[in-house]
Amino acid sequence: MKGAQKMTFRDFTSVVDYRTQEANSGPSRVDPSPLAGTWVNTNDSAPHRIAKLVMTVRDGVLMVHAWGYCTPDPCDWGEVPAEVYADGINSQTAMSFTATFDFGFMETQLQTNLKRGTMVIATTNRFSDLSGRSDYYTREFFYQLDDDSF
Amino acid sequence: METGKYIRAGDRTELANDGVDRKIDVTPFVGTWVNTMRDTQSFVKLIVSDRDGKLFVQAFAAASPELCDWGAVEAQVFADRVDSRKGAGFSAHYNTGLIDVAFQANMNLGLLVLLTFNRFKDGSSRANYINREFFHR
Repeated sequence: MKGAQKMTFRDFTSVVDYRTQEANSGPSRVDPSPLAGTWVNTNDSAPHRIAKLVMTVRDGVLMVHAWGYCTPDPCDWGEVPAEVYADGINSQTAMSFTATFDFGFMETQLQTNLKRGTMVIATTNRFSDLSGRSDYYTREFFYQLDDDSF
Repeated sequence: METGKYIRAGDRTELANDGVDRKIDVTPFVGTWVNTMRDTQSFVKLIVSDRDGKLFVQAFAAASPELCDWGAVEAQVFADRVDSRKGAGFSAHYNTGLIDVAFQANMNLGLLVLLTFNRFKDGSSRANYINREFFHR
């Protein structure tokens, strides 16, 4: 019986996750549009940085295009779909996303949150090429450009 | 990708091809961590342990009369650079069948900062959401 009770609790991680009347049925729909735009790293000296992100909404899905800092030109990571998150179960406004870039020799996952107009992006980077490089973590900050000039 | 074996300048292989053992030090994370908010309705406690060099996380959520034990899962540990073995953060993942919860944790000023990314899979209209909390030893 105790085990069954635990499974019930695992329907939520917090009391604020309880199913409410208004959040009881139908598809979840978080609007990704607040995240769309061009985001630029606030730190232009870190060698591990993501230089720029361009995020667009396509058929309701947030698409993330990223460039890593490289010289002489940025490294184009390509574009991947993202999962978006709200700040609560009854919210419809995205304030976070996760996205995964698989480069073959390494995988980079972006886990983000929007705070006071700043996009905080944590990356976890895992190598699979036996190069001796440590898997590593970064936390970076981005501001939004008014247009996509860069 | 035509960028070779790195996607950021700081990832270049030559930065870490010196033969040094880069097993990442997990000791900064090991211990019992308690939510700084005593009345939290989310995760109350985390037990982080080192089992033969692998990091495990056991999370306990608020519930009554006893905390809800989510069980222990293996975590992935990350350094702060490709040429470092200093533990900077870890990630872990719970999948209960009804909800996916991804943990992203890092250390800051002696606190463990935990972001959870919560995805419902039960067909309810609850929005996927994130939560950020702080834990002390």
